[in-house]
Amino acid sequence: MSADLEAYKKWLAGRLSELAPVFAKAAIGNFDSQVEVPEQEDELTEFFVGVQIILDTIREKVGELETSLEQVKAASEIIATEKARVEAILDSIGEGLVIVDESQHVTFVNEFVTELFGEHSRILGQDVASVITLQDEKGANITSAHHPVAQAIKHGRRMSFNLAKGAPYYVRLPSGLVRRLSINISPILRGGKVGGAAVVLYDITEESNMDRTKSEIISIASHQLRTPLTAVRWYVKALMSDKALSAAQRQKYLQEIHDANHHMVTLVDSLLSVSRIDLGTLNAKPQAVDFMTALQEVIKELQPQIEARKLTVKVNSNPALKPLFIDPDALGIILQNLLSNAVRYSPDGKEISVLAQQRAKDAVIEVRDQGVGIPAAEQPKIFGKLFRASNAQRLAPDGSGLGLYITKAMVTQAGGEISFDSHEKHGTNFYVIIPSSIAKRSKGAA
Amino acid sequence: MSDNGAANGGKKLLIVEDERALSDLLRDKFESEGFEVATAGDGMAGLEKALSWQPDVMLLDIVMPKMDGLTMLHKLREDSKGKNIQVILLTNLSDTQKVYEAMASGVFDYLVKSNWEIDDLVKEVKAKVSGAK
Repeated sequence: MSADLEAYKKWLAGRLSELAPVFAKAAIGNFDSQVEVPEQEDELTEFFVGVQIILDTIREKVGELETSLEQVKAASEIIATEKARVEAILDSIGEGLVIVDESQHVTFVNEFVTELFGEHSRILGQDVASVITLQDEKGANITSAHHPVAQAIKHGRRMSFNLAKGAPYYVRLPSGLVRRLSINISPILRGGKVGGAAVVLYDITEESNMDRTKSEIISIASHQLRTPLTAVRWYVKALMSDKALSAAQRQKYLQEIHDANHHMVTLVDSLLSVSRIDLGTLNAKPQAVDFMTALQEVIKELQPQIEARKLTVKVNSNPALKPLFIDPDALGIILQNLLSNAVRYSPDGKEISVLAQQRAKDAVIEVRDQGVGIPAAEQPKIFGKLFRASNAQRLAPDGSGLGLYITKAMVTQAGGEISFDSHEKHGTNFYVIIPSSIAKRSKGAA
Repeated sequence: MSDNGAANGGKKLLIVEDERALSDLLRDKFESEGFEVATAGDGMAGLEKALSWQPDVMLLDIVMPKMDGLTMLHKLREDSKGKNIQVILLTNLSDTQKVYEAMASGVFDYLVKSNWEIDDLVKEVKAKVSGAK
């Protein structure tokens, strides 16, 4: 009996060992094996058939899985491509896009936003008010509670803060530049509840600057053209209707009309310069210009005021001074502004001196006066547009506040520099450096 | 600042205006109408002249150096010698807001320079002085 059992065990082991390579293959993921089922049925036939069925089923399922996996892979590739495409589109639009969830945490920003507010890693997942940091016009931070996104989410309605509504939001860049933003916020509704918001930011800095320039120009024009326009109107009327006017009076009246007209042309020219400076369309035609000729022209124009105020103008120009490389009109405007300021703000009988000397490849021009000077506290602002020193305002209330702004822009465009020192009640010295034409010969100096 | 006697034994007119072109023409015009005319080019000189010279009527610009016209008018009214001088404010359209504000404090007429012909201004001044004395 035990010999039979031994034989049976051996036989069983022998049969089962036929399956070893099948299992070994299956263990490494190969289910292609065919189990050989002997023609003559025995105790293991059913088991062998069963194994074969299991193998076949697994093979079939693996095949199906592989197909699905490929489909999933293909789908995720499509999704990745789409995502990249959408992000590229969102990055390329000129507006900023921020998506926040219902707890006001940022879930998406485009490149425009990262350029203004910092890297993705700094922004994503954070509270919107702490990363999309906004300021008011004066540079004070907008608090979380007053953040426009928080407001829109709280009220659950679309809000926009554009120029027409005052566009009160600004962002200060690390470089110190300040950009003005227009902001549109649309809540994202999920099942009737606010599930977040889409925030679109527009940089309206240029637009609002242009807007401001326009209204400033209109305001200056309407204020300052009025007096000469009235003068022309009254004098023309007098010439037309007063038959008793003497020849000398007629001559004087014509001169007044001429002067008022000149005044208006000068003012309109200044306004045009300002608008070109602000809109970036200032177009200079630099060439070699003789400094003394330009200076004499300006002095000649100011002669009536110089004489009326009993001022002395001293000119000291180094004979070695080379021609300047600058747009002749720009040089005229620079000298006209500096000298007319010196005349206007000097007490009667004082001296104005103009010095010009060659320093390497530049001309250094100094305009010195013994006038009222610029109050120390106001000195940092004098090249700003529409700025007028308090003492200058008292002395000549109708100045435009454009002269030094234009002067600086003209000097800068010529590749030069302007600076000054001033002591209130003692006078002001302006220093202007303008490249000589020698340095620019290659650019076609005449 | 200077005084010109007028042959007409006329009324005294003070012009306080910093824009010389305008004040010159006003002077010519009113002198030819028989007024005795004096001018001042800023509010400070104008106040001084008004108090010492006692004009019948004064044409007063608003935007002027040293002291603006409204401040000057205020000081003039505070002074017993300036209380009764008739004043016509000469303004630019852009100053009208200031004028409205000032009208609450003192009674005077005002003319917007660029809207008026000089002949109308002469008529207005004549009407003022004939009613005054």
